[in-house]
Amino acid sequence: MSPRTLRSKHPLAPCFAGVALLLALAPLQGFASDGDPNPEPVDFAVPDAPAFTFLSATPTQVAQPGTARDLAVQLVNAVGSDGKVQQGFALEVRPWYLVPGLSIPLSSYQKPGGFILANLQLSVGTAQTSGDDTSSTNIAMGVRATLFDDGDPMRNAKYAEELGTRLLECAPDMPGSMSKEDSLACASRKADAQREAWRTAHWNATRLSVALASGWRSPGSILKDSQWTGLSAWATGGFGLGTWGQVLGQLRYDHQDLANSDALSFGTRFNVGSKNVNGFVEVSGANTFGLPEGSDSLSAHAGFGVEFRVTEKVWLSTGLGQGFTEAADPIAVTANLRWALADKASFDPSK
Amino acid sequence: MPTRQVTLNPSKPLEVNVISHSPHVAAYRIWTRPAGGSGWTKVAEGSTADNVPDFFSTGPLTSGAKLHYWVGVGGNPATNYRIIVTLGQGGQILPDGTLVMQGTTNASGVDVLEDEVSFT
Repeated sequence: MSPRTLRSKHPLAPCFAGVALLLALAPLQGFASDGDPNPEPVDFAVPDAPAFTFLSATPTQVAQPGTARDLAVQLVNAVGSDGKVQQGFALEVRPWYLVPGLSIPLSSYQKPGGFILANLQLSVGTAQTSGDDTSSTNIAMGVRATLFDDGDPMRNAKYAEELGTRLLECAPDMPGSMSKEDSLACASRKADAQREAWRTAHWNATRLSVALASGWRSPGSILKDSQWTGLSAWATGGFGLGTWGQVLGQLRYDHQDLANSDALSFGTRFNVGSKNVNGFVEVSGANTFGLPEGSDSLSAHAGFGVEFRVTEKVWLSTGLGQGFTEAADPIAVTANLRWALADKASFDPSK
Repeated sequence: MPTRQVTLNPSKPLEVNVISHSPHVAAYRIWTRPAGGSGWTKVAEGSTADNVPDFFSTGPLTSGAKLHYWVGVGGNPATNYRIIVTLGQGGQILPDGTLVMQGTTNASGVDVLEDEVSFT
């Protein structure tokens, strides 16, 4: 990425530029204000199912085959006998589970290789092409990998042992002395309580996830006529600072082959959390390049917010954001102050 | 409740082994009832994450005896699990003596399974 100059007329611009330099990692959220006096947070998280995100789709039904045979059946059903791709197909699978004879017990899961393999996830989706051409179908395939996650309780041997003890407390004393529903409800309560305590203590755990999705367009929904449309890649990481802070980073790259353009989005966020005060400072931005001369753009946003607990159920929150953009004629940047009252924190360090 | 039937040798003890083949904890409690008997006797309990072997021996059991098991599965929410309980004698798994329990944990990361085996 070539260096760019971000222009701002705001007197505090140097301060925000300083923040951007200090926070060199990537954030999860930025305020895409673009002049909007009420900016909304932008979600840059690694998607749970990259293929669906690539299609901008939120399927209501997602096939999750439990065997290799089920997977084959689902994929065959996605393409009709006429060679046309079914629109609205959505599938998500963890490949290791489908391999006959392959097992990943807890002892393997608690090691890096087993953890990565167990959490590797594939997704496939199809969606109707937007616009006037409703006969064409967009297809996407994606892969997501969690490289490490200190916030996953099942990686902790003591947590797993305690979980086993709690589950056993929900077993019937004698066959028939407790219904399955009661037993399951008991197990759910105990597991929820244990997981909540773990999350509270590990809210800022160090973790790193990556994802990749690629897409094709099928004119007339004919699979063999598909053309590659591009790809998206994500990387998100979090680094814990003691028990009180967290630095988050996010990168996203999009390549649109048909438009011959590329975009790189980035963000950095510094979170500080406690029982009564939450705060964050964040910088995010996007750089689009490869467009016709003069069309490339670079924009960035910076903001911070603080929440104070006023009473047990009343939080006072405030935020300030500022946008920067590159343009031939500098534009006036916007700055705004938001005040709000809520009965719970918008940023909960335990989640 | 559906009952699986397993043929065993009434002169040898029954060996039971509980194994988790997925990143989940399996807590278990197992009872047996002799042929013609009316009461259940707990013969084993534990979990696959407690650093205690999940292999135990009971019996001998005669034809008509029953074994009842409860298994609680725990792990991450909405994840596929695979727990296997084997029934054997003399170090060999009996025909139809491999009980495979597969499924998906709920939003709390747990599931419960319960079933019975009759011996012939």
